Amino acid sequence: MFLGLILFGCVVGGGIYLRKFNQNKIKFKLDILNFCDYLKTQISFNKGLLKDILIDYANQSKTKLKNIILEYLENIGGDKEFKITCNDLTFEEIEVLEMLFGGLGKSDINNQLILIENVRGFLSKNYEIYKEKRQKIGDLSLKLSVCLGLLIMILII
Amino acid sequence: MLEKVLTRDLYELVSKKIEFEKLYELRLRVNSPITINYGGKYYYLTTNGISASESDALVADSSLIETIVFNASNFSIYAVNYMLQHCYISCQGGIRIGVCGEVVIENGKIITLKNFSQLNIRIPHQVKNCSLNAIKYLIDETGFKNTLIISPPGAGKTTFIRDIAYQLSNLNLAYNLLILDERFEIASAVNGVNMHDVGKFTDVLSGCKKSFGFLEGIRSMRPDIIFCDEIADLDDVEAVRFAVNSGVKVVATTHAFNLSDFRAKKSFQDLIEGQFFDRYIVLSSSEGPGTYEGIFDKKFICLYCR
Repeated sequence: MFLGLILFGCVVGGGIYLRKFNQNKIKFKLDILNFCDYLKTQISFNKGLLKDILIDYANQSKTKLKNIILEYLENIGGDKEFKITCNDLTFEEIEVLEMLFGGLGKSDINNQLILIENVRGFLSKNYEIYKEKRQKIGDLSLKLSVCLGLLIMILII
Repeated sequence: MLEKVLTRDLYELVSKKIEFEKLYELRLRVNSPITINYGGKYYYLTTNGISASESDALVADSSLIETIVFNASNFSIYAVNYMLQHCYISCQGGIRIGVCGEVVIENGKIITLKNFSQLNIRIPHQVKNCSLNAIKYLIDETGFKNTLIISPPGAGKTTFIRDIAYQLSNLNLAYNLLILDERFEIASAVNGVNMHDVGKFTDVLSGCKKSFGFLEGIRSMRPDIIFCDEIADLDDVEAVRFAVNSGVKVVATTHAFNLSDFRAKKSFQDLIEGQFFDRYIVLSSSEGPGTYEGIFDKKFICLYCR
């Protein structure tokens, strides 16, 4: 009975972890979209300096985007092209995000807004598809883990 | 502050091989040798410092120029676009960068500058007391005289007008001074803090057009003397006329090679004939920037000549 409970806990825990993992990925992608919106507002209305805008956002971000922004800030104005390493994004998403960082602060407001809007548009489409898919998988993994846990417990008992 | 503008390599070269006090300008042109104005003369920049020979000169490329513009804008070109529309960027420390490139026009209006191709990085030097010998001609028992400083570009007008403001504050004559620093060149304020010492009785209105500055500055700050750099067109002349008619004294600068060139300028005819300015100070760089060529009264009678 005790072993069964432990195994049930482990399997359900795994399911919860998998769901959480998927949720974090969704949050990360949503954070990038929010970041684009934040940039748009700060650049077009407040005309704040890029460094200040990025620092402010990094301070409030709770996803991997924070690390990407901080890394960019470390290299800002440097000779090397900014490259992103992140397992939670597809190759295209990384490319688009690199394009965003590569162009930030390098043109007038209109062109900045066009750049941000284009990047947001692309990532937004991906986000919706990803969110739907991952939410299904996440919910399914939790349900499956509960069922599997119960099955194991019953078999052991 | 030059380190925040130049690339690391270029800054290291300039700071190690060149005496900063003599560095006035750095000129970069795409695919051309980098030249520097060092102590009033132009040289090529080489890996060993400066040279009169072009053979070892470092050559600027478009990426270097773009990086410098990006750095100078504090990584936010959109935030300095209003300056770029007028082909310049003012940076911390009073560094002024003249920018050339492709002007983008929309509906007949200049909206920005792109594809930057040439830069003139001008490094300011505060030369305290450079105007001291002229001050006695500018004040008498009736008070301060409306003054126009005339010189060709690069002859020290801005340094001179800055020092007049500083000297007037130092003399404790209880004049309230207002500097209209349209291009952030005179006081070079950054976040409201002046990068140059313009005196303790001096207010600074930065980044505004002269016509706005004269009108609103007089209303809001009630200055006794207004300082402004480079009056050129009829709008500027009108603004000066408004100030003088309002009973405020004016110290301004303008570009002209010498006095006769200035007197031939059409836009200034009304001011000349109306004798709005009581004193004309002509500067040149014949013996280095800030050389006094002469000080003249409103009828162009020479009070001091070199």
